[in-house]
Amino acid sequence: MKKQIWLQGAAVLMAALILAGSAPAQSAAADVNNSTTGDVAEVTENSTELADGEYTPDSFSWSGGTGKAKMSCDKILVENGKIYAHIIFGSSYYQYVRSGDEKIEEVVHNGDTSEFLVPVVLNQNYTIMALTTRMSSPHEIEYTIYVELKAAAAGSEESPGIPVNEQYQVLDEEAPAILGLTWSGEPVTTDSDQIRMYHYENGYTLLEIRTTEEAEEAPEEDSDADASALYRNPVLKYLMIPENGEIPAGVDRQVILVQQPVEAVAVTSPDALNRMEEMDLLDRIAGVGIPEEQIPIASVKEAMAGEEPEVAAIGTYDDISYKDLLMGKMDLLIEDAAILEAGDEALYELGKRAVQMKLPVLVDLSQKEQTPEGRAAWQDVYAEIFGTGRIDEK
Amino acid sequence: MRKYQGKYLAVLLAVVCAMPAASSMPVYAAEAESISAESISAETASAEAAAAEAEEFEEELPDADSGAGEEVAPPEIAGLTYESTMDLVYADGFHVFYYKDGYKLIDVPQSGQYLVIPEGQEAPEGLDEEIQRLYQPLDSIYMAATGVMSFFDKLGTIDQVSMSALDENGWLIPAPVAAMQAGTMAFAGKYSEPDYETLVGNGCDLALESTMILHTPEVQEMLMDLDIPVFIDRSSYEQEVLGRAEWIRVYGAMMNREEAAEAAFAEQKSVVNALEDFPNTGKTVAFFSINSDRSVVVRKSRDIIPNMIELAGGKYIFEDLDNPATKSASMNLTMEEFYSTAVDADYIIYNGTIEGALTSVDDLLAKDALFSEFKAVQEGHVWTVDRTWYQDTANIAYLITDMNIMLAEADPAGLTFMKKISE
Repeated sequence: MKKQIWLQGAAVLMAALILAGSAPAQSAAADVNNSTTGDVAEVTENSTELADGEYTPDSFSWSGGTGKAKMSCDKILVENGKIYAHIIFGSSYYQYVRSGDEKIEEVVHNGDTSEFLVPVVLNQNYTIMALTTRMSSPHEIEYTIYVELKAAAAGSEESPGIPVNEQYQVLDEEAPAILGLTWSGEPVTTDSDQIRMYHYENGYTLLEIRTTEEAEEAPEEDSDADASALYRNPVLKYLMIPENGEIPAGVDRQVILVQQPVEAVAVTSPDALNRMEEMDLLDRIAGVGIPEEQIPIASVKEAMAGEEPEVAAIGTYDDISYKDLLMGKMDLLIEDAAILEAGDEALYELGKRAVQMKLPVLVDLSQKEQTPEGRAAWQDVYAEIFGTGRIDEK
Repeated sequence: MRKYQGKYLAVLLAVVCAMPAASSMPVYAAEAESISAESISAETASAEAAAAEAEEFEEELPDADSGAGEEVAPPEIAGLTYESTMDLVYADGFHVFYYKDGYKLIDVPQSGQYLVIPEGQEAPEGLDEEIQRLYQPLDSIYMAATGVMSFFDKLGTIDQVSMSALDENGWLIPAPVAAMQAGTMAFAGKYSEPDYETLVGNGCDLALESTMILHTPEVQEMLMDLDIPVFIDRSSYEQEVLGRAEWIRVYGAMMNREEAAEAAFAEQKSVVNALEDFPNTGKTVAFFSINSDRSVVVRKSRDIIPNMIELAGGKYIFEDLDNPATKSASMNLTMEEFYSTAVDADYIIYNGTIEGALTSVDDLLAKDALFSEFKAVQEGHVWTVDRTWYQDTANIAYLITDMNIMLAEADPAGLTFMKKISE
């Protein structure tokens, strides 16, 4: 596996070297169908070595506005070395788009759409503004778009797996492709059949947790769904974002984001409390949602006592005080596995509120592990989340 | 439906007050202009920016029979003794009932009921769960109803608004800008995406929303989960200008500033009443803006703007403009459709948009050369109105004064929102 990938990388490099010596505008690099052929120059401006012509983006995603708008990009045009994305808004009320210093007023209104040819930068987050008149007075709205064209990207190791948002029914057995991220090349290692972790370059980690024994039927696709719909999936996917790490546009609708560092965590799972004690992480606990008599750790009970407790009581796993989560400025909620038994939609309902609070919810299923190795795998998860080493490494 | 023509003839005092009131009216227009068109267009964090994208409108016309405006019996509330009902003049969208010991019930038929509870008191036992509780003093308000801010300014209660859903750049009226610069008012996220941490951290005791909140029900639910009452303003649904202005009385009751509210409302009434004897000129007026695809945005005939043109002594050029497909107060016409009627208008008023109010007739001609054939262009009757009036609900009647100045060709020194751009 590894070898094959290395060879691919070498092929890209060779192609690039050949290209460097040829006339770029007319070169074979323009052949986008050959996805292993890339441009050696990293594109950071709205210009490219790609030959003039029409290309099909490998993927397109975006974020911004209320999230209720629809936007797509079906082609990329290169004209005199300048890159334009053909952006289609799912409403006829868009009047112009701003990109950098340019204002694109040329618009095609096609029934329920507004279409623009927008100068863009490929393969990175790029901000545009669009003016809509869908109200009593027009307003500009900021969107962040990400137009991916692998042919214009610097040679990088491709993820062996399928795109991360393609299926949520079962765990990915190969590192999924995540927009804007490069797989580290590290293969998955886990002793749990409930979790998978994949590492990406620059400190990003994808964690997948399977919440059901058997894969369920796929829920109906809802293109309007916001990030809370992710909590409905049989497999919960979390992307841990390193401090100051960029979040590729649109990824927030594909995976649950956990922004590091995680310093104030709310816990409703006794297992999680025990694990955090073992891992010397009790100082990260800011809230506990476990009835007092069931709290396994004396020091936590003490921290919850008194007039101004250090650790807030936040209710219980199925009845959480959002106010206390907000008051405590918590940045992660670790839920007890019982939330999955609390009703079909219990986790989703919690997830809706959590998305509003920008608070990720992680479900600790370690009690369902059958083997000591499986339970130990959860320590790896915690070590990853909290940025600490595993205890056996300490 | 009550009509004001002729009804308040007796309020001569108000008429007498009209002129000094008008001259002491703060001139916002100049300040608004200091915010350049560029900075407005670069501004994106405003609530309306997000709202614009939603599939609905903030300014909608009410259903034909909303059932509002009728006499309503005071709700019986166990534990409270009813005293009186606020006597409304023009507004259709709310009722205020007074109970003993300072309790008040605000009923906004299409939004809900709110019990105002005096400081130090409790809600009566067994109060209907559907009735939201507003505990005075309401001193940590999140203002997400743009048009209501000017009411709070007029009432002298803007210091009780500690959070805003527009950022500093989003405000076109000076009071919230000053409060935000002074740090006494914080931006707490747009209406569709409030920063709940800021709300809870500031002990938010009321979220004041426009009907846009109805399009993001999850936000309303979340606010209520956090024990933050959600009051939904419906002043923009009033089709008469003084009905809109009368909403200041709701907030007067809510904030215990009834007297200030009555005074402010009387001032707005006097502005309108001052024009009562002004004969209708029969001159026709078009009020519009232009999209970059050349389509023209106009108000439907059954909207507040045609109402204001009428009160100012003019006639809205479109007599029967409607589009049943949308509840919006405005609609789009093709340039050709617009031209066929508006070419004969005596006056045209360009509704200053995000691209800035017009500064010259050339600006207009640049948008479409067809304008050169318009009667109003040829006769030098081209006007523009800046965006301020959208936010300045408390002073909305001055837009009528402006229109009257236009029609009467009176002294432009009295203008508030409008400006003549042709020579």
